Amino acid sequence: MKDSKFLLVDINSYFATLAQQENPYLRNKPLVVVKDLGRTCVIAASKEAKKLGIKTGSNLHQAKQLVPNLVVIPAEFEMYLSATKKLKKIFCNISPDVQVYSLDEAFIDLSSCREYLYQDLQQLGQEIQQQIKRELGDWVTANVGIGNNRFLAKMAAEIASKGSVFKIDSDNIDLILATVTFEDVCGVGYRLSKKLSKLGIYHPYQIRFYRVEDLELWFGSFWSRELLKMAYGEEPHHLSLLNDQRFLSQRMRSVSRSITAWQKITDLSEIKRIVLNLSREVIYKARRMNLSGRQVGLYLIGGDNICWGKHLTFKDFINHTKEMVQLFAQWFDHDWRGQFAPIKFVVFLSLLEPNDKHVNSLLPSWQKNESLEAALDAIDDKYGLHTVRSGLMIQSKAVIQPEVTGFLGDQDYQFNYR
Amino acid sequence: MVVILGIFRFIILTIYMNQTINEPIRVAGVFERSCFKPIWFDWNNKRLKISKVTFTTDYKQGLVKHKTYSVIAEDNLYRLHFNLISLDWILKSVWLDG
Repeated sequence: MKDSKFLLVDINSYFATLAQQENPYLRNKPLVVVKDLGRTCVIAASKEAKKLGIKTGSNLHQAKQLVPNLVVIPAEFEMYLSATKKLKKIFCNISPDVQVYSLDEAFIDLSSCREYLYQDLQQLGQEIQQQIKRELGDWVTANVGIGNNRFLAKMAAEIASKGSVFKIDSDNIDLILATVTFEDVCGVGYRLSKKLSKLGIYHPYQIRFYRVEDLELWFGSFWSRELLKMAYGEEPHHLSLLNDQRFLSQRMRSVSRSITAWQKITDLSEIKRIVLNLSREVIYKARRMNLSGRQVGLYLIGGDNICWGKHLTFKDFINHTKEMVQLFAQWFDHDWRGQFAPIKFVVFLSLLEPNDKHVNSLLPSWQKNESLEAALDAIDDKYGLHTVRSGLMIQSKAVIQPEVTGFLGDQDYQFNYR
Repeated sequence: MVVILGIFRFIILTIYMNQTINEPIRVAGVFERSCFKPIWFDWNNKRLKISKVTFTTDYKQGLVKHKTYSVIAEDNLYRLHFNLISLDWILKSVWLDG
């Protein structure tokens, strides 16, 4: 095993723990977080709720049946992002190589400094836990996983008991790979885990005993290679990408925004208003990062997973809300034709390139749009997004404001451009 | 009966929440190790002594930086909101416990 060492810090039940830290009256109570009051999907559960069998992603109605005295609170995304920024500061004081993996998880790569600064990683893990308590509050606990690569560090954090430090090294690696279930293995999703269990494979170590040909037959060449790496405790592809400086230094390749409405939307004008609202956010974020995209897409999802979507790739770059919305208006008129009442809306702009890499159009209409968008940006930069908005949005019940996601897919924007 | 049960369930689900106040307040505090620590605030002609700051949230709205202090005063949880540009203090909300 290489000498490089990684730490994965995972805050326990992040959203719920922060709520309990802020509000002592919620401590020791089974608590779940929903996106907004009235929503039915549990996006986070406290340690106490988890003990009673409530998981993230549970239906609120079923959760209430299971735990009648369940406390339900709405998410506070500004609070979570603020806490994540504080955590990032702590981690960056430990090593220059920190990768925030999601709102509540970060890898700390000690390869370049461990030998000189940190002899005892177990002790370092405990110090990080103490720093987190000092910064965010004494209710906030974190698991710290230590491993020779990110895969093992993540696994160590997953199997560690709440608020503890756990290390996977050459002494215990085989035992752990032979006992851990795929639920705690990073990169193995629900479907793959199900497929593996159908074949009687419950632990990564078991994969070592299968022939490569058989694995390829069952899982294809990519996943058979990935599973074999996991069986030997090596880093799978998606985690090793974090090691690649070229990948890390790359800007965002796409900006997207999705929203699930309170109910199915039947009114076409309301559908258009929502799409306009999301489009402005997408364009604003891209422009803040000085990027333009060549691919534009829109997806509408209704009940029973019925879905309609379209995307187009252009030769020229798009970075104006008006262009994007006019395109969607054409799609609504010619392709959509009110096929169903959507409840979920997704808008994206991809194939992004820095603005200085292409020549802007000299057409007066483009220049006019650019002046308008620049004026909008200047106001929104100063007073917040959607301060000025299209007249079409006046009748909207509420403006859809930007929010962060748990996996922090737009961390480049959130950390560097906001 | 179904309607009553539905209302009852709604009440159960929403009873724990922050009651929005949004009223300007006077706040006093001290700077401790380069951090501001609120000590008391005046609201409704009453001085409320802060016993603990449980959390602080920093965020930006446009260029304006905001800081929210979640504080315990007289056994209630309050959110005090500070605008770092206008230097205004607002009592954002108070926690209603069921």
